Amino acid sequence: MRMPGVSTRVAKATLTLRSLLTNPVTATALSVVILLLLVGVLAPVVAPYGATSVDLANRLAPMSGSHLLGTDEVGRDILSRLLYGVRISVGVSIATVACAAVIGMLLGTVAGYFGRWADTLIMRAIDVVLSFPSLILAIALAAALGPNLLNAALAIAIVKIPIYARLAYAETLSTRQQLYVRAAKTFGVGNAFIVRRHILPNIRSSIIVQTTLDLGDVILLISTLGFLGLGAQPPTPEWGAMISTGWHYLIDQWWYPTFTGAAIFLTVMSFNLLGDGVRDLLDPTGRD
Amino acid sequence: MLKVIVQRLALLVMVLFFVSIATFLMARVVPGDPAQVIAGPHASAQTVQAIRHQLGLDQPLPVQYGDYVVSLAHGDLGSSITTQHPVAEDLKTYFPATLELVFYAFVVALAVGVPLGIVAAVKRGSAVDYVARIVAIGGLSLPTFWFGLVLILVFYAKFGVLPSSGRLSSGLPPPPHVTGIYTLDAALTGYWATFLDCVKHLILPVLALSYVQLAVIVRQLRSSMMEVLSQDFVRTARASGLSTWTVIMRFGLRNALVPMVTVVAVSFGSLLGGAVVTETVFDWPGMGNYVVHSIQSLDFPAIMGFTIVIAVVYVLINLIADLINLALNPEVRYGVSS
Repeated sequence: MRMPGVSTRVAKATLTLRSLLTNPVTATALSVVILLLLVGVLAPVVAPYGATSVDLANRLAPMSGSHLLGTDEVGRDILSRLLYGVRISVGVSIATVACAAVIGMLLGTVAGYFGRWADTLIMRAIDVVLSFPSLILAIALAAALGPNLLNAALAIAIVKIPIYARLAYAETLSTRQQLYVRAAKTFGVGNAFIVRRHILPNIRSSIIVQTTLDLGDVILLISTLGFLGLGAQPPTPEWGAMISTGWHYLIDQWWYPTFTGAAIFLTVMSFNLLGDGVRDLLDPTGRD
Repeated sequence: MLKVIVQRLALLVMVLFFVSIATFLMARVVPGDPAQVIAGPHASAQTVQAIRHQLGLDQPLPVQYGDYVVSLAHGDLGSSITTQHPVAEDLKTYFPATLELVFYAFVVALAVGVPLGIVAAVKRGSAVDYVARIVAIGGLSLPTFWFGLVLILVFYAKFGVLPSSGRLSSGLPPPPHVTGIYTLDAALTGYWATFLDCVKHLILPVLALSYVQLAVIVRQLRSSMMEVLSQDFVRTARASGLSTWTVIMRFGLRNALVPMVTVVAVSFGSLLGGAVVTETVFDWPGMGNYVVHSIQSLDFPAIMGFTIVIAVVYVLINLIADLINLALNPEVRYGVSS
């Protein structure tokens, strides 16, 4: 049972990347996503102004050389706020999806592998979460927990857990019946080892596909909660919250909410296109 | 078939039971002390205690839950803190506006999404397919609230052809009350000028709300149609000389319908969620607008009343979708055990 060597893994990763890049749309989406991640990390370097540096003399300034996308209602540079906002929208979404995926995978695997009461308890709880439209449940949870960014992320993670739990559950159920798993049991191999060695590797690719497809959706949900006042609070440069103040200036300072929304749109679209590319690669049945 | 229906109904009761626990926890346990919220930050400990007693919050949780379920069963969702009205009454007032919006959005999403999805799958790689894929990926990436704002910017601010908010122009009285759905009421009572005005007010919000669901439907129908069309029995049907139309309708669509019904049910739920955002942007006086105002004032009875009503509607819609799927499945219809 030797683990594949480092060089094999690097070769595998290179191959995956190369196949991803053969599709021009996926390649573009991947470049935009990488660019976004860089912008997020380097926001203090690339942003021309601070995210919260107020300049009351320069309120709602139109687009110009010194403020490429204009300024907001207290004179903050919109471009800088958008760049800092990448950290929140993309960073928080990645963390949220990761949480939902790990917890969901754990719950689904436990329910599928141990069956009986674990199955009943976990999968019925999942059914309850699924009996609410996802946005409505996220709104209710975020309202109950109290309006801030962390709670919004938590609410969205809870809403997203069922998808992963169901995926892991279905895969675990079918893998559990496989001969090699039953053989391992006969030889007295422990449950934890079987799950780690035989079950989880089988779930992995469908979970990865789902996480990439979900990232865009979670960015949308975070910004929607922000827009409704249930997410990040001002002066945090969160895109949804920015539009929530910016839309009052829609008619006279159209660039303010328009560019902010365009940032959400382009980001989510890049993640969705990348997600499609990853799915085509790892899950050939859904391929176009 | 009857046995299956009874089973589903039993499951429905169980799901509703758990839904009531979930909303109870969200309304009473998670947000800290509701009595404190009602009393306000400056209230004395005595006042808070009095409110707590009045609401039964000094009782043990199982007793509180029991009371909660009993009042739910009587259609009592508690009283709104802001409007002071019973939440059930408030929701009843705002429901027709939301229903009107969601219904038209649903119709538009289906009327455009279904043909587009089918044609894209049948004429794979064609210009229509290309458009369908752009429509789909665009719809899935567009924040509904922002799309609404862009529509207002273009059609109201720039060209001035459509109104940006409300259900009717100011000064125009609503049509005589029959159902509360303005377009229907106006048509029934013959107020055609009002009808036209209602339609004008509906166009932008319906467009904003329906686009995302349209995208979901196109994407799903396209991929399930393609899967069905690539199967052996479709090839056999084609080879046996049936017309393309018959093959697509009788073999393709018929088989792609089952996953589709589920998607449509889920998308109806998403429309209800999307309505919250759309109503806010277009100041549409429906349940979504009501709940957003409730959120701003931390009016938990109103928020949770809304949530449970939507959950019940959603569970019922899913039940209907399940039953339709059962009816579509010949194994169940003819009593063949699976």
